[in-house]
Amino acid sequence: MTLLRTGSAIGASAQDLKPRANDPIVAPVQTISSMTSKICAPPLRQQWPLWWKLSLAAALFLVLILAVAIGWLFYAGVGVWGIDWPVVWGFALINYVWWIAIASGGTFISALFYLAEAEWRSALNRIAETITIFAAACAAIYPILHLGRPWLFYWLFPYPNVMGVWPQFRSPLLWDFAAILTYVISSILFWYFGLVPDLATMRDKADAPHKRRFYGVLALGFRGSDDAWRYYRVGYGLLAAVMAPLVISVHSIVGLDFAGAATLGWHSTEFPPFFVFGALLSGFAMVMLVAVPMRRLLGLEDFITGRHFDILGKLLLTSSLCVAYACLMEAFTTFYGPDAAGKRLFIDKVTGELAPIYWATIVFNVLAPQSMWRQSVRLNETLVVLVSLLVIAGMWCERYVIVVMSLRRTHLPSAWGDYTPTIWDWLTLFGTVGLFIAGFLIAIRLLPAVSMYEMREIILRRARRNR
Amino acid sequence: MNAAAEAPIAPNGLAATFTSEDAALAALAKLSASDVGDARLFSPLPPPEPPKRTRLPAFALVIGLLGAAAVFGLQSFANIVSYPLNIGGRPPFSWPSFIPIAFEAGILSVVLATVAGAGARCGFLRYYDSADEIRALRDAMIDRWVIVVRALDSDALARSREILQRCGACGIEEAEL
Repeated sequence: MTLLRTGSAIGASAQDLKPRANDPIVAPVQTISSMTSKICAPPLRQQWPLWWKLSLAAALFLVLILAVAIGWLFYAGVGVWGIDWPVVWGFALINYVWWIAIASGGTFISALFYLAEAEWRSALNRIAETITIFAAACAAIYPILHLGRPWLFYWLFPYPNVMGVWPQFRSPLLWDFAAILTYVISSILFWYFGLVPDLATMRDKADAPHKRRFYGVLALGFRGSDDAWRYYRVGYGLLAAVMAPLVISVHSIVGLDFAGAATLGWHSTEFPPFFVFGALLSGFAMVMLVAVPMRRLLGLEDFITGRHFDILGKLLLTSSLCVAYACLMEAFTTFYGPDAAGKRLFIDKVTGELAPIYWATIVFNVLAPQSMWRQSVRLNETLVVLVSLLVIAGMWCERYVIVVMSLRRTHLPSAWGDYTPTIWDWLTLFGTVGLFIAGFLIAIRLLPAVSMYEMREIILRRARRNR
Repeated sequence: MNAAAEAPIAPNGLAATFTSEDAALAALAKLSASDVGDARLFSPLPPPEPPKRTRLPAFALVIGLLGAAAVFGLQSFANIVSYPLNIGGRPPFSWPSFIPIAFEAGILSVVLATVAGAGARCGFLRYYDSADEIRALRDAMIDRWVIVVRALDSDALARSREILQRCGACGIEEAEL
């Protein structure tokens, strides 16, 4: 396989490039010049290797499937999905919550750890934010599709109209619309604002006139003057300071979508923090899952080092423990409370016909990440990918448990029902996976994968310390 | 055509390139102390100067509060005056349920105000500047520190050149600014 490897990594053996416990945040061989050349090299290449073309072709094929699935949905209505009474929220809501949770990891890494002045985030924040953008885009599709008449989605906006009606502002579903809209717009602006100095570098690095024009337009005329940097810094800090509470609010409101309903298994004050914990876990897992191949395929071994794997592994473990606590509290409050129907539902979850999905949730989200207690696992790329995949699959199962299992067993046994997803449910899910992958692949083709100006600060600080 | 129009334009500025941030900052300090004119530093990363006071956070805060208040007001108006709905017997002015959307609107307002405010002060969308003609500036966003001096007169120009050379500039270019 042709890799985009340059500089010090050329000719290095696989053993040399493995993450190690004592790795620094940036390899000591890297200088400001070499780092800039190395990060700029992949997007400025004329031709990209076969792995990228094949991956993009496969992802675009899935996007085509998504287009067909959505076209059929628009033509035939939501009846093409497996939803029916009483399970009126099926894959659309499962996938929506799953994607928006994956998006959150990027914001946590780029905003929260920026405020905490964590140096290690600089190598990962661009990857994490790109994940956020495309995962949030995938998430935003589902509620619109689920409306039944998606072409009337603008009725969700509060605007004066001849009908004299307003949206129901007291519904968490409308809060969710406001939260997601804010999150998508803010994430895109935060991502782009963070990209501007690096786009200016790309503009000045590019030789071909059309590339200079392309990056020049995107760089918005940024030149790196001392005044511009001063305001840029303040602006970035402000954005980070509001993005951190925003991501918490978004997931709390997604939790309130459920908690606000008088449905068995949902009507709990535990839901907002439970959803935030789950979002953290799946977000960190996705960043790890993407960072491992990116590091190798783009030759970023000098910037995404063993130190990053070590920290991400610990974060994954911590968020998994939070999810475990939430699962325990769910069981405790069910049996501590007086609601017989709630107890019956919980027993159905853990022993009923869908129990394997519940236990898959526990095994993938709670037990598998416990392997991260061992440093050797945190530094093993294969195991990191495996655990991350299990967590992402486990988080999907968790949403299935929450959405389907609660709805199918209502208070009234005569209203019980079942849910079977149709082929269109599955194709829509796979289609959004393709959309996410295609978006990500195009982004890494055109944009620097690591924040160069922040890496320069780390390299300069290190040089000063060593002086 | 008169003689003044035919005379060659004399450069009134200099651009000096440095390979180290410390040398560039030292040269900038000396230029500022010598009062030779306007000196600006272009660098590939933010300079380590202590943050100066700016009104940007206050501007973002005010816009954010206004955005939140406006959306809170809109919800109150819609529920109390324009379209009262009895939802579970709750009063028309059930203000706690108006907070989440008002909070999100406040955050969105802060983000938009910050991007617009910081972008305006950073010179976003200013695609041309006379300094762009300086060849050395192409390296300023890569790995060089470039000081651009707009000298007051020819004497200040000569003094600037001397200071920059003494501070270890690896290249000096004349510029018309």
